Amino acid sequence: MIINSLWAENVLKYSLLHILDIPPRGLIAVIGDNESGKSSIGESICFALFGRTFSLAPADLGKIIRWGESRCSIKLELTTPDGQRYQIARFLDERGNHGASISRSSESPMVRGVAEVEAALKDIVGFGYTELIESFYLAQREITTPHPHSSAVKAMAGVTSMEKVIANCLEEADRAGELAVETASELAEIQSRIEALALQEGHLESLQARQEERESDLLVDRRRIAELEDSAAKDEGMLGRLHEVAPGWLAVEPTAPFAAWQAQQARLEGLLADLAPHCGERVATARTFSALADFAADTRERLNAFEGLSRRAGAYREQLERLLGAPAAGELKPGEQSFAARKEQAAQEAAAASSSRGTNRLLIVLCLLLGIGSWALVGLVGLAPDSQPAQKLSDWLSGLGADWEAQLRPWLILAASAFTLLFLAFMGHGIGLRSRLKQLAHAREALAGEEESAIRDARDLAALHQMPLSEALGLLGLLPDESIAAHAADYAQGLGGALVDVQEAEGRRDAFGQTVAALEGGIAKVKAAALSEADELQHRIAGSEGEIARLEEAIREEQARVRRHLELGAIAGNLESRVQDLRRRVEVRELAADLLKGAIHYISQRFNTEVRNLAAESLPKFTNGRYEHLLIDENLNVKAFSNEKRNFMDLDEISSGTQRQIMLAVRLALSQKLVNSVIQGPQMLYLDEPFAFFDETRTASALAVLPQVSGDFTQIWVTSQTFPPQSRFDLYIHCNAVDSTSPLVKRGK
Amino acid sequence: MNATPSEKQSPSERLIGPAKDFASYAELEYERRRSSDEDFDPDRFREAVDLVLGKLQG
Repeated sequence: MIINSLWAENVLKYSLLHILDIPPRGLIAVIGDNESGKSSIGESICFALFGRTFSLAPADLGKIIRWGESRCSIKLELTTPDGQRYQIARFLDERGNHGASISRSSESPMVRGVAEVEAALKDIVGFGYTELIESFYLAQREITTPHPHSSAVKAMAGVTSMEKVIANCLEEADRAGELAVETASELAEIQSRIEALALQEGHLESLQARQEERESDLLVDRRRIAELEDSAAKDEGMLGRLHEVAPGWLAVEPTAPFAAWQAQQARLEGLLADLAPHCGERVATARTFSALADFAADTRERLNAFEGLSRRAGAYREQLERLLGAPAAGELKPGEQSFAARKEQAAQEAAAASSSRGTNRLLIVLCLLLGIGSWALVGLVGLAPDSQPAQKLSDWLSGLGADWEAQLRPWLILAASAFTLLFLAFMGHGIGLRSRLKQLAHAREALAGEEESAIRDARDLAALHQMPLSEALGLLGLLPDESIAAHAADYAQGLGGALVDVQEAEGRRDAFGQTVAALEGGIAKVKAAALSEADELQHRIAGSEGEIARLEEAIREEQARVRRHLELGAIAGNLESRVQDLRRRVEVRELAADLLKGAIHYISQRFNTEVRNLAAESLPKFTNGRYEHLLIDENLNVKAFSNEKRNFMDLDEISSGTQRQIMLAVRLALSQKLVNSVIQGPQMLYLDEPFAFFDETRTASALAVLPQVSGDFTQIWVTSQTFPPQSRFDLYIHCNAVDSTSPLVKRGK
Repeated sequence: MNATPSEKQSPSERLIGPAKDFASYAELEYERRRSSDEDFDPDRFREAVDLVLGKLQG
């Protein structure tokens, strides 16, 4: 930053201060006696820039207004390292009203307000008030070693922000540590509550397993009860069926028809089919059931045998019905001839025979008449040829031209004989016809009888199953079909005997009754056992249900405890995680603070080295080569290497003039460091009475050296009461102790 | 394609001011601690460094 001009009104000593066209390069001498206003110029620059001065505390800032005035104002024009020109304007009145603005040249203000200007100015010029005071602005009384912990030095070293971060990290670490302690306390509380739950691992699972086991047992028992009740109901049903079927069977008499036997047998077999799955495999009923089944099978065999016989009879009955021409009987089979056809044939034969007999009778009469006539003629002619009839006949015959005696008489005898023979033949034939007719009549009678028998048999056979079995066997035994009759006889003496024989049938009924009674007893026993077992199971179920209810309650309680344990566990997990996180935060922040401290130490050492190196460049120039090297420790304690004594010396071992030379070198080094690190461009220096303890030779030497210290310090302001006569400046500002108006400004040659 | 200057720079080189100084120191300190500290926790170290850099730049 280079100052181009300064204009002030009622600031400190000056009612009006005009310093214009200040050269950007070179030495500027501010000369004057005590109280002439030299320091006022420097403090005016400070006030213009930052609204405060080195000599006035902020609370006393009002004292910057010239005594007797109520308001002051100031304008300062500067050039930044990038060549931009800015004007800072500021005013202050006795009531404390303070205003400031920044504007580019001949433009309206870009920033207004004291705080805003302070913030903007740091961005524009690269430093603040404290950096200025510790570096570029050497106040009249400040030619001592810089304070190592001053904010300006720290800012120059770049550790201010680090120290803030350290404080921030430690503060965060403290907060996190406190939170960690609080959270750990909460965690301990939660853990104690978890321990108080005394949850046993696997207890809930054990309860649930027991409950499942009991429910499974309950289910099994209920199913068993259902089975038992079903079994008992079936037993009851079986008993009912037995009571329903057995009396019917016992009531079947040997005189009962086959259909009744069949019906009872069918009911018995139905009963057996119903009983089989229920009684067939039970120990208590299997034997009697088997006996009953055997009885039924035996009866079935007997009935089947009769049924076979019945089928034969049925076929025979159908044949009879076909022969009888029953409409539903169907067509006659080959070789069969119906009674009607046979009767028709017999009738025809009888008619033919009768007709033949009539013809034969006519022929007999005719042959008789002709024979008699012939024989009469022969007798008449032969025996009484002379009779008139004989004569007339002879005459008639002669009239015919025939030779009667010779020709007709043999023929007549022959004819008479022939007629006689024919008569006899026809008579014989007639006798045969009469016999034939008698035979035919007998045959017709036999056929009618046969038909009548067939009709009766067919009718009886149609009711075969409805007639008593013994009668049926009798009917079959009398049928014209010998095969059927023979089988009927065999059946009556064999399988059918047990059915139709009264004694055998009685014995079978008794056996049946005993078997049924035994089966009923077995079923009743099984039923009673089932009901008894069902009762026991009901009692057991009641016990199991009670236990299940107790287990459910225990499970609910245990589940609630488990849920609570899980909730507390989750809370504890979160708290533990939180504690770990907080501890980690503490560790990280403590490590961060530790690293920052290390970095500060590292940077401070580097800063000191840089400052030392920078100071070492100017120190020999200020001390005429008597001191060339410096040692600067962390606290900015300075030791100077004396070329004469060949050793580093503390400042208090050195003369006060040399001390100020050394400290001026250190101050310039600090300024150079600030330029290097922040500004990086042309910079003004304001040195207020830097040579107060210098002799004239040292002052001249220092003035000669100042422009050579750094190419960055292009504008150097130096105040002094006097300067050595040979000193040369680029601008002279002569201050007058008795004049409050602007000092005399002269340009150097 | 040529890399831009910022792409050529290391993370610490892209930093400025105190953050850059701290990052330089942290790199040296990282190597020192890693080679000398048996209990060195690189993750915690990186976390601390990132925390500081964030605060310094914030």
